Amino acid sequence: MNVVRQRLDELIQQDKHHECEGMGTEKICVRMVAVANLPTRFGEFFIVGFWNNRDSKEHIAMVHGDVVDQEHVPLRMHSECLTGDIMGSLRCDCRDQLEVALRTVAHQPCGVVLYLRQEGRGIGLLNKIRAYNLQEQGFDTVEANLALGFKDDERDFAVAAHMIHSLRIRSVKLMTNNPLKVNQLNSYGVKVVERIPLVIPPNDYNRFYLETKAHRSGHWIDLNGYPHLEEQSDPIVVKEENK
Amino acid sequence: MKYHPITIIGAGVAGLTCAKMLQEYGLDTILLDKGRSVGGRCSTWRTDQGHRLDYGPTFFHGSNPFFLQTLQQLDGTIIDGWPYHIQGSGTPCQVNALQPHMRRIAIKEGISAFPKYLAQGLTIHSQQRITQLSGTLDGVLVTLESGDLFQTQLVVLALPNEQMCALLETIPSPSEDIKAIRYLLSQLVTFPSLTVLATYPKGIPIPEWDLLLPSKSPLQLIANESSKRPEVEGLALVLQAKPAWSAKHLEESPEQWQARLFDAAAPLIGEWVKQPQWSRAHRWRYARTDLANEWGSPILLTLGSGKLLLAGESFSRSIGVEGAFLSGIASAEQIRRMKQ
Ligand SMILES: Cc1cc2nc3c(=O)[nH]c(=O)nc-3n(C[C@H](O)[C@H](O)[C@H](O)COP(=O)(O)OP(=O)(O)OC[C@H]3O[C@@H](n4cnc5c(N)ncnc54)[C@H](O)[C@@H]3O)c2cc1C
Repeated sequence: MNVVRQRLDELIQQDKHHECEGMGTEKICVRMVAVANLPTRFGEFFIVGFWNNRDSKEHIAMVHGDVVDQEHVPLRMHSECLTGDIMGSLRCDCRDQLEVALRTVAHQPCGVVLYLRQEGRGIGLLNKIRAYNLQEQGFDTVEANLALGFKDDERDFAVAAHMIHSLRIRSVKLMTNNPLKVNQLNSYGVKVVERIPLVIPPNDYNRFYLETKAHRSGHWIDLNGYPHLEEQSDPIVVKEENK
Repeated sequence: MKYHPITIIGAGVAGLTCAKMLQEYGLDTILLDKGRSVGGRCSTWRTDQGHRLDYGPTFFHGSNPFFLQTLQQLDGTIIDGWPYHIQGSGTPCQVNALQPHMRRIAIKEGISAFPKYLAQGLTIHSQQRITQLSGTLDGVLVTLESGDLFQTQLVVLALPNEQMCALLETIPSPSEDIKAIRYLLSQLVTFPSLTVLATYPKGIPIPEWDLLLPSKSPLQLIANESSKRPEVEGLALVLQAKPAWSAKHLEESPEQWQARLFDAAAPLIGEWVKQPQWSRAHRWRYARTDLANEWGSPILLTLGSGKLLLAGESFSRSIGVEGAFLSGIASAEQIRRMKQ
């Protein structure tokens, strides 16, 4: 059997009775419970399933190559977005960000994409749909969007940090365009040695980031004239096309 | 005119929890409630014969460690695990209330002992109905029904969604944000519940169940309150109607729907149920909600040069009393961060 796989299996054995103090204000503790090979269109991965003691959420680590006990592991945190990741919504850039992250990691000797289950920035899927409906009613003022878009980042970081510790990753190269995220992870005892910007190649669907550079009070306005929610708390960087 | 930096409207579990947490952070608040006592929907009725009847939530249930730990402060009056004997194949008031991972706790003293515990040491003005909110250059102006005025910097609204919307409607020339949130909240509902409290004299066959959950009936549940307090002579029952049935009969006279609910109970437990020694009808226009009607977190808005924080059961990731408690915690946390 593959050595990498063996190591992950061992971690799962060791994690069987894991129960720690927990991280963050909610004292979240996650346990590694299952692993399998997952070949994807982006490359070879192991999918590692985690269980969260607080709200029964199942989180995922997409692991490429050998990361256990390794230094300088490229890592991306991605927050669940059903409308973007799965339905290919153009109201956000989640699908683009997820694809780029998986593809980038798959091209490195090793790396991880953490997929954190917190749909709709903590307000849930139904309320996310209600918030979209609100935008359609022409309410797109800044504060309402902030109130709606209030994202419980703290929770994501606590879960992510615990997952990184569970995988026994010694230090990470964080893939993000948001430098604040480095400090956040640091504060949970994760050593971040480098920040790698996440650059998205242009395609038919994200061209509007380039074309509608009009920033309205810090919010992108999308093709349909709706404010563009920044689900991943990560400013988007699209590679300019060579003219 | 009175001045208080932080004013909390609604002294239910959400408002009380928020005030208690803020007190721990060293921030003083004042709570205003239209009711005569604290606790809002967590309420217990005492009869002259010495019966106690919980006519809002019948028992507490939850899984959040902080919530459960706080309930443990009622040590001595806790009935851990109640209801022990459940009969019927209907669903409980909250779908997940009886799931194995949920801790269940009834209170011998009455469910209202919990809000009373939370209220200790807090400044609370009861029988004060708020009739208007307006933004001013100095903050927010709160108008009471009595005509009294409170000037404040931050108002926490810890109310059922509909009562929250009603207060937001009173704001003169609301901002686009407030209009937006109002539109949003108008899509959420709190279901009504028509409730009957009844006691019966000694000699009535005492039911074997603590909680009856009928399936094909206008009744959501019948709670055997005497199973919480067997030392009181006779039998005390609380009958709660299902949300859809309650909505349909909400505007009928209490005599009418009370009789209908007794009729519905008779085939389930016996004709004797129609002849109580004492009874009382209580119409909860806003009783409870479900996960499809919850906003995930408190919402912060600007009003005048002050702030409005929307909290209460509907503003958390959980439901019921646990949800109200957690929204109190979350709103206090948000205020603490703001003050830093
Ligand atoms: C019949 C019934 C059964 C229930 N069953 C369950 C159950 O099994 N499990 C469960 O978890 N939950 C149950 N609930 C729901 C639970 O009671 C509520 O979720 C919880 O108590 C809500 O607390 P709150 O602080 O958010 O609101 P509330 O308790 O409603 O507090 C709001 C307060 O605001 C005050 N107020 C309103 N408007 C104004 C105004 N304009 N000015 C001043 N004051 C005002 C009110 O008087 C009230 O005290 C039930 C409720 C009912 C009624």
